[in-house]
Amino acid sequence: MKSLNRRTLLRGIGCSLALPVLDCMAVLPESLPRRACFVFFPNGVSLPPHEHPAHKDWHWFPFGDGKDYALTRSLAPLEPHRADISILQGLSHPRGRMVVAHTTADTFLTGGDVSGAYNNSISIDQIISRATAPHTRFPSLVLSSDGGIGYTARTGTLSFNKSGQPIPAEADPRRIFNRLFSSVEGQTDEQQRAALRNSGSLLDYLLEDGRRLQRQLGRGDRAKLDEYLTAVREVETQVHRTEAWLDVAKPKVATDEVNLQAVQSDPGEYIKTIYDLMFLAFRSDSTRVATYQISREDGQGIGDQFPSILGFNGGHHSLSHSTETENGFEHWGRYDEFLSAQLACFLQRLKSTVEGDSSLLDRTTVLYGCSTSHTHIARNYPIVIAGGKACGLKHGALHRYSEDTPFSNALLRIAQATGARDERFADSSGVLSEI
Amino acid sequence: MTRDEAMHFRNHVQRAGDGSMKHVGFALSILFSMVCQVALPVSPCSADEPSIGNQAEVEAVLSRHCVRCHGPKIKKAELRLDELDRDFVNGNDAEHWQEVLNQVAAGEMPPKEALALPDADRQRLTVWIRSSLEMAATQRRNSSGRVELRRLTIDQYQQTMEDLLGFRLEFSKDLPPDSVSKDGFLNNGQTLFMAPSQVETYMEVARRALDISFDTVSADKELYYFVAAKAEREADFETWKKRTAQHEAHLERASDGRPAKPNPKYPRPEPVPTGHTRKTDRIYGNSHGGLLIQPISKEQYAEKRVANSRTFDGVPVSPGFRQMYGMANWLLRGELLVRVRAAGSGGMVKMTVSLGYRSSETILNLRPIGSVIVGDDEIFEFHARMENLPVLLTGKEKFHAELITIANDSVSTPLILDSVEIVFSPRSEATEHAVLDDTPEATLRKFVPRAWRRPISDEEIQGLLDLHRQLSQNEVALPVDVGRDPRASAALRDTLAAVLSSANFLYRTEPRVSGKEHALSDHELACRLSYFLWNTMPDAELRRIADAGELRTRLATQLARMLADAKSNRFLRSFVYQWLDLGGLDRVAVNPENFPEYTSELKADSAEETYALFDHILRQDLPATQLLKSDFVMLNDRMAQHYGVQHLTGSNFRPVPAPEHRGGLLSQASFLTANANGVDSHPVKRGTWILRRLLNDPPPPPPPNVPMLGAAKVGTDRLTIAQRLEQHRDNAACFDCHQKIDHWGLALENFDAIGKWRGLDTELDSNDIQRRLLDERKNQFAKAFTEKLMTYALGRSLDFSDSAAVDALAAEFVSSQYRIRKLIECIVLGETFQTK
Repeated sequence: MKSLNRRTLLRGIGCSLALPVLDCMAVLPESLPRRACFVFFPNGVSLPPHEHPAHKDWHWFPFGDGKDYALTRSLAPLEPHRADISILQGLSHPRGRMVVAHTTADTFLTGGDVSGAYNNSISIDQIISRATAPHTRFPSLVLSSDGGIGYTARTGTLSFNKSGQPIPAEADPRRIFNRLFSSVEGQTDEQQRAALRNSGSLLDYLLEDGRRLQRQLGRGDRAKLDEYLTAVREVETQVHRTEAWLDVAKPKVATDEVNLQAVQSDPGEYIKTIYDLMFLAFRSDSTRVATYQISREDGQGIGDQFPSILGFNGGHHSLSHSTETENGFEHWGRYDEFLSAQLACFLQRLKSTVEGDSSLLDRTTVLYGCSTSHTHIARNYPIVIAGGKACGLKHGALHRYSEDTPFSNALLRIAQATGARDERFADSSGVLSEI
Repeated sequence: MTRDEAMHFRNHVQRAGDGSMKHVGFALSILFSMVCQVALPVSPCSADEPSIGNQAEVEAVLSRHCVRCHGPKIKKAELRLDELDRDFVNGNDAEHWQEVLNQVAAGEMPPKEALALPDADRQRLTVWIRSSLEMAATQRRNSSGRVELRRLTIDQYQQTMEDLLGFRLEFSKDLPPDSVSKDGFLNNGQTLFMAPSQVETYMEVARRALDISFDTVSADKELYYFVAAKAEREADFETWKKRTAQHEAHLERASDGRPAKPNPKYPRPEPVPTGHTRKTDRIYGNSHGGLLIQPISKEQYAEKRVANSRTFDGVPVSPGFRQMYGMANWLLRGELLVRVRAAGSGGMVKMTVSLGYRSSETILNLRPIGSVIVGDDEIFEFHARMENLPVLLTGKEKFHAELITIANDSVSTPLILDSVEIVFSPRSEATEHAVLDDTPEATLRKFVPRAWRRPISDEEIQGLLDLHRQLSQNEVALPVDVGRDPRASAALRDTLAAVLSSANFLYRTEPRVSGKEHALSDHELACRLSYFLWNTMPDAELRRIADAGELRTRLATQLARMLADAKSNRFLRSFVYQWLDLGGLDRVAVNPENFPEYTSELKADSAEETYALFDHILRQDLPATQLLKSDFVMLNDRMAQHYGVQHLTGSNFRPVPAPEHRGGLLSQASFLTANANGVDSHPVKRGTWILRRLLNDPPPPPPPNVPMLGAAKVGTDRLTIAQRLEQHRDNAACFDCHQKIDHWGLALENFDAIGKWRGLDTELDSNDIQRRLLDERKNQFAKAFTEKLMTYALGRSLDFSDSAAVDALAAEFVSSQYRIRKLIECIVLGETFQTK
């Protein structure tokens, strides 16, 4: 019975009909979780040309080949994690190469086609969540420094549902923490169950009421109202889920493990806190999938101002446009370094937490990157993939790809390693085999 | 053409090239549209003009004059006229043909340097496009593929909930932000989407709000405070002197050569007495964070009010300072009434009252609950709810005291604060907002028509009663509270929460009734009016008139009433914010090293200046062209300081004669700052803004992978921005657009990144472009303004089927000498606004 922990068993008793957990557990050879985490930063990275004096220190991509590569200062904080990371160069979404580069955050995790009318598609984290969601209280965690969804073509979230609609991201550490770990105060299970039943009846009513209205509407309006009806149905699913998890107490996490006072006006502390929350969500197995958009493209939102708050000359977007100014590449590179240092802390925390006979990092694949190499060029994405060795990933090298390999192949590799059985994703032409 | 359209184009072009089948379809549709056109009644053009003409002639004109630049070899503006769909009805290119028509009719295309287009050919082309569009417009209206359903925006949801329930909670704070449509508006039905988490939030907010509305407050929860500012301050000063003496005595006792250890019994007092006015949000340790005040009985309160009303004797609060009062009730729920009696000392002062609490030694959490302009001695009333405070309740984070602060937001004029009254949970009168009635059915019959903004059917009531019955079987308890209305129950609450989460509430719906598909009912019209001018649901009077079926006959008087109502400021602010993209001010990070004088107050007031200008023009019925150039400016003390205007005091915006280089939107700090980059001016951003916002002629997006401005060879960094732009224009790929954009922005180079005048010698200056706008682009501005206002009023993007209406409205607008009020009237009374 080593493979079934107490919580899983309890849940099995409470809701074996609602959630076919035991079936899933039987299929997986081992029961320890597999997880995936996707982190995005905008505007590309500092890539001074060869003859430029800043080339040596502040060229984001390392020099060298295969296992013999040398990190520049941009990624130097990742040096201690060499054995746990791969660096990928040359990948991009083919359909994103020709569109206005700032729109590519919308498709970073979807590989969707937004070159014409905006029709995005499901993101990879939501694909993975289909496989992992039956095991956890929350299907996935969607985070960004700005919260919400931003707007079309300048997204404020990395995650998109199966209809290609944006899933609003959470940004407030306290709200995230409360949702994950706080219990409903002063209510017994029976009361909560009754309240959930009420929600169920209420949602049934909303569906019926919405359909009645829909019959009286014109063609365009009917399609618009479908959005609402779909949303109501998804809430219904979530209510069932909550009901099924009611018997399982939320995991106990001490509030001093994370700084819930962190705010965006202190970028270092804030980004660290978001990483901490993902770490805690993973450690407690509250969810196995998370996305975090550090900031938005094109100078939008609070995240863009992180560098100016930190004392750089301008926001992130303007840093990326200031390479002609004195030390422009270096300033941009220093911000790249700041961001990779934050990532390194996260990896360190995952690495130093034991799970089974390996570490949390070995069972968590982290993808870190951006959908532009440098300003307005949606090719050659800067990508780091870390962790997940116990899920089958291989690390330690720099891999270069030609444009024949779509970025979706990398996303599919992670999805499969995390338990998804999909054979294809978006425009994938295969699975990345080098990692 | 907007960015989206351009992208759309590219897509279309790619798809069209996919295979031969497509071309067959293409040819067929051209044939089809030719057949249709023969059968069409002739367009609005008079009979002596050439008839719709034959397709071959039109194609010949296109290929002779257009396709060279918009064809297979070169596709300027990403536009290929050879591949645009000739089927206006079923194809996707009608909007693009409209754009072609605009360009050709305005004489902008073909460009001067190209082969001249003979008048007959120009006419042949425009007549063909125009009549094909007309036909398609009729078809489109009848097939009703348009989105008329509009979800309430965040603002509308907030206002509607407030007006429906009669109290102000931050109803919308957990909703995701609304998307901006391609024309720049937030109220566009097409872009207002709905996500699952949003539905959850609506349900949650509705339940919480209803719980509050079910509370009837009992007398034992009332608390009264009366603070005569001066007397309280003097008493406090005495205490401070005593404490300071104690502290110093302790230090002396301890001074045996070693440094004195702090003794908690005799803490170091603040450098100034507790609660005295101070500038920053920081407070000193060991205090309650404000002058601690104590509640008194209701009788004492009444007495003090009377006694104090006889004289006015206050304490001065200097510009930029605030007076703080702390209470210690640790109350988390309920309504708070704050009355402040104050006067400006020799001028008008902006006074902001905030509610907050102190969560730690030094951090204040303040939320403004209202701002007023204070002149003569007067009593101002503010309402707030404790629930709006994000109170942190656990452990050491527990807050120390509630705070009320009264801040002087002017930069020039002291505020004299006489007294502050605070009443916790004033008994609420039975109002139209009361939700509960004697039976669930009576409650629903009263509440639902208000919430859904229309009469409801018995069937709908029955559906809700069924839900109520079902919910009653679950034993759900309402949160524990002493003052609960006995008629309330969880089943009723959740039934009403369903009403407030229903599509009938969250969307403005205009269902089609067979037989009169296009006619708006009186209630639907009342909603359109009310959301247009007030951003909220219709009020009782509008509802009554709609119930009586008299709205159409009384439309003109209702319109006048609504514009006169203070709620019309919501229209003004929300339209101006979206049209002129004042949100841009929040997207620019002004570099504090370059501009230490740039504060959040200055940012807020620069937006206020823009609202004030629009407000003055609207309310005084001045021509809208004064937005382009005015001989007055709207200033207050802070903006006057910013522009270097001397001797202007008081926080109120008022018209003053325009100083040199100022007057009109283009000289305002809001536009100039939002369209700079925080360090330097940015002519391309400014030029694009003028084209997009004022002339509704947005330039196409830059093609992918062009070098950005300045990303040229090393050695260019010493060039001025104007020189670099020139270099940029030398690049053929950039020339076409930038020659259209840059000159507007370059003429404003004398305004720096925060809109201050640089005083340089420049070739072009702001007068030049203002003159150019007024001399050459007045009609284009009139049309653009009409389009923007109409887009906002309708809550949808305009399409080619609206162009006749827009032209007619723009003509009326021009003949009224650009009166905004007249345009609003014409829009509301026009057919487009009154039909679906």
